[in-house]
Amino acid sequence: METERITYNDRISRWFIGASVTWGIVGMLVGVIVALQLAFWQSNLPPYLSFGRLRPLHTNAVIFAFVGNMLFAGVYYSTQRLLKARLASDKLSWIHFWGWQSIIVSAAITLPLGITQSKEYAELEWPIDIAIALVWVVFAVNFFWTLARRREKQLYVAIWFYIATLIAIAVLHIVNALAIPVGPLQSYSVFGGVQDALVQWWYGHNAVAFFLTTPILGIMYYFLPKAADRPVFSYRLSIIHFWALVFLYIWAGPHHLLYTALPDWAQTLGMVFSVMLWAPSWGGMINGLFTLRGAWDRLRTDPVLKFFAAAITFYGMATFEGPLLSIKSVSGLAHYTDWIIGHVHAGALGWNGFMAAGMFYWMVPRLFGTKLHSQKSANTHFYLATFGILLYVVSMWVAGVTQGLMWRAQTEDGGLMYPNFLETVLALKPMYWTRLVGGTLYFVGFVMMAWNLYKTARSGAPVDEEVEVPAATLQDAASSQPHTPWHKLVFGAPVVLTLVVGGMLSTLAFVNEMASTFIVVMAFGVALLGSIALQLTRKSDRPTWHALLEGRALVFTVLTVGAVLIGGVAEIVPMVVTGSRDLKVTKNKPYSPLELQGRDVYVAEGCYTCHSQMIRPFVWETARYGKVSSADDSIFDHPFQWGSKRTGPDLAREGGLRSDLWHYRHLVDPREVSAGSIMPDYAHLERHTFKFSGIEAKVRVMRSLGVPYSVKQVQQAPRDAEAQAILIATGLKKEANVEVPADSKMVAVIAYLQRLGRLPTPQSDPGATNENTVKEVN
Amino acid sequence: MTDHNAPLRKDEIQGDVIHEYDGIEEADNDLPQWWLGLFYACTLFAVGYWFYYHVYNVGPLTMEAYAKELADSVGEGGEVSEELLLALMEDPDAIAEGSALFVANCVVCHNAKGEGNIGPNLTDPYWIHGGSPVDIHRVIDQGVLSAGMPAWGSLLGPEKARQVTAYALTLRGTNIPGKQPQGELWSPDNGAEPGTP
Repeated sequence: METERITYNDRISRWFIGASVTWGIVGMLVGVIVALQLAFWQSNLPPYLSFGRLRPLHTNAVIFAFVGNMLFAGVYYSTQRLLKARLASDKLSWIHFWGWQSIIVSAAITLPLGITQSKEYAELEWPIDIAIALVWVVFAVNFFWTLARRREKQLYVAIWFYIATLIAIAVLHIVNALAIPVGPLQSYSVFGGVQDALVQWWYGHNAVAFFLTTPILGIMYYFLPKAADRPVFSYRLSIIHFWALVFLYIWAGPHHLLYTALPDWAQTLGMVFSVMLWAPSWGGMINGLFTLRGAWDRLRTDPVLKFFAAAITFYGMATFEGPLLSIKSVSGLAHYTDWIIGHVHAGALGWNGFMAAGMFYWMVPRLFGTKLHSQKSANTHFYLATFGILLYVVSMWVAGVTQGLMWRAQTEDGGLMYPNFLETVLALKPMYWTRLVGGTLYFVGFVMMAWNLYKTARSGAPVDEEVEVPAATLQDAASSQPHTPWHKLVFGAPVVLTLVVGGMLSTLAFVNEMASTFIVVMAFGVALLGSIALQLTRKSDRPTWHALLEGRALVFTVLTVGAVLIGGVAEIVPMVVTGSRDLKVTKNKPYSPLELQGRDVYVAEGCYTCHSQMIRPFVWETARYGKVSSADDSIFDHPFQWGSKRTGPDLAREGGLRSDLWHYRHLVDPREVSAGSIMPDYAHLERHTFKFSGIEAKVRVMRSLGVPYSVKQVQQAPRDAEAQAILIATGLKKEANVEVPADSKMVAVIAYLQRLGRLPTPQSDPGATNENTVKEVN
Repeated sequence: MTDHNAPLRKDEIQGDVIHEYDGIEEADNDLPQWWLGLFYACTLFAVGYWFYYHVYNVGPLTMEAYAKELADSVGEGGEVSEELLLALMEDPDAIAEGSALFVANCVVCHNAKGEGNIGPNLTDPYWIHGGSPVDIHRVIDQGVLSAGMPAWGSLLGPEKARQVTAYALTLRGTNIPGKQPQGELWSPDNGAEPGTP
């Protein structure tokens, strides 16, 4: 066979590693800062560097900058070698690199400025969202083009996971980011209220699945057997857990919304699919850990294997905890508490951070043709980081369970044991300090790694590996080999069997209980008999259906798209349909123009990072906050503000609960009216003003999204807003001789807070009709 | 093209190696039985859970469960009378407890001695919503949504709501200079009468 010599593009991986380590330091440093801000409120530096604005910066930096660059480095390095082909285009590789870095820089600038969509892990505003989509497409083109030029016909399991990542992230990002611009740096989500909540957590959960899990599993499948020099445990386990994972993961998003106003059927789907995810996730863990069979003794000396083994163990731990937290009663305790923060850090620090460290320690010496500068330092990094994670996770468990129990503790006669919310926060202070210590240890270990990698790179010189590969690419070779037609693969027996069983089960949504029982029994029978038939018809002299599929990148991709889309379509489409119906019958009234302006202030300050607006149906929760939240309460909220964490109390029914003066004093200095509060102060809202004329565009965009403002209301928005603002400002002046400019953000946010959970009052909103006096929504 | 059915070599721990990619060998061990069992069990649980709640409707859905919890939790002892509240004023334990509750929850708006700040002065004879013990208890228990007074009854429970009312009654008439009088002049004998706030 003719061969040729090719050189891999390893330069791009070196650059991505450099970027990942650099942004990792930034992202984790911001993490340490926000941890300090929770333990010690004085470390907030409003407006730009206070918790509400830095927390999104931390999550975005760690997920998209640190892990993002790490996965690009690993994907590009391993893909070229697994496909025996150099990356298709150096130009696209560089566009990918610099495009991604500029997105990160624009995130680092806009988030502290309060430019945000407020959708968690998708906060970046629309121009940056478009840039992300474009750069992702560049990555995809570069990847699939390389795939087309491969000299290795069969795709190894790592490549399967990369394909799933590319497809799913594109779909998730684009759908969740759909928004109508209000201006160059502001937009409103096209989805509102409960729909927006569902779409957001379909995205949020699957960003974890397809950005932090599937590409890293692919990286595990390449770098772990390389580092251990041992055969991968089981090919058939790879097949089963790959397809199960990509299919099941997508459905699990609603477990972030248990006991909210999301319909019961969607909550149940979220919960049961999360429970079913346990085994497929552990399939990845087993395949990783069992690959180490025969190499366990080397863990004592080799830091790379130490990091990989610990990473996979943390993955197993986090993917057990995930399904556990998805059980409704457990969620009832843990939701909105620090338990969730601990859970995600077991995944981010343990799984992602340790996979990254192992991969860097393995790759950098090879990319620079040298040995690791200091094994000892790498080992110390490992022990520091492991201890740091344990401190972090354990302190957050304690904090979460403590607060969850304090919220629900009742006295004998039905009152709350801790009626003052603040008590339940102050009880956590020691845990917040412990977490800070744990996070700092981890950060120190990471900086040691950066230094070690830098010294390693300096001791060698960049090497781009050259290899001998078969001269012909696959297109040339294809004509000489028998070719299975694509439809025999797409409609192969396993796919048909899956479609039949899936189709039968999907009728459960429509039929009565008798038919449901019958169908489930039938589906079980079909699945069983079908599997047996597939086993019996396997011929030992022919490749299996899946083996054929692995040789066909396009067909494989198409089937992956199908598996990834089903869950999202099944959950989101019904919600969008009922959403437009709900809009027609709602009794809720849209926000007044000033309240809308105040809502933008609430969003920009990141209030949602600490305050929920969703009262769950528990007696102890309604005693504290008032009537259970309904979907109707937030029907006009583009985007929704249900939140995911209660460092402060729920605000769903804050309107009218306290006076304007209380809110004013509280925002200027929370400690004045709420002794011991850890909330940052928002005195700058008094100085920062807005233009009434700018509100018209906001109301107009809301109208285009289906919020029932009349044309007249749109036109009058600036005047109505001003009238309401003057009312509030003069009220404060009269009450306590406080001078607040009517066009200050302070006045707007007070108007918004006073509206939460109730209909407009004639006084509050001169534009509203008289029939809606003070009464609760719905 | 790799032959998919003949092993490339046999590894003494992992068994037959069937594929090799860039030097990475791949074995094909059976799925662990306990793992398969876990997968089946979780799937069965999922189907069973769906049937229990959404097909046979045996289990209560979220709001049904809440309605039941709410019905069970409606406790005794929410009713008060003037005699009861006045009697509590003489009970040192109740006043001590009420005082602590007042410090924890009320001084933010009504100040340490009840002389008023964000909320009205509780020590003067003027009352916006009535000054009788039962009136004061009602305001504390149910709140005044339009005026920024939260409903404390559901938060504190009936006993503590009574205790803090009793404590507030001890402040009535202490006439501490503070926030200007609001509401109507009220006296125990005559009830509300038109006043000059």
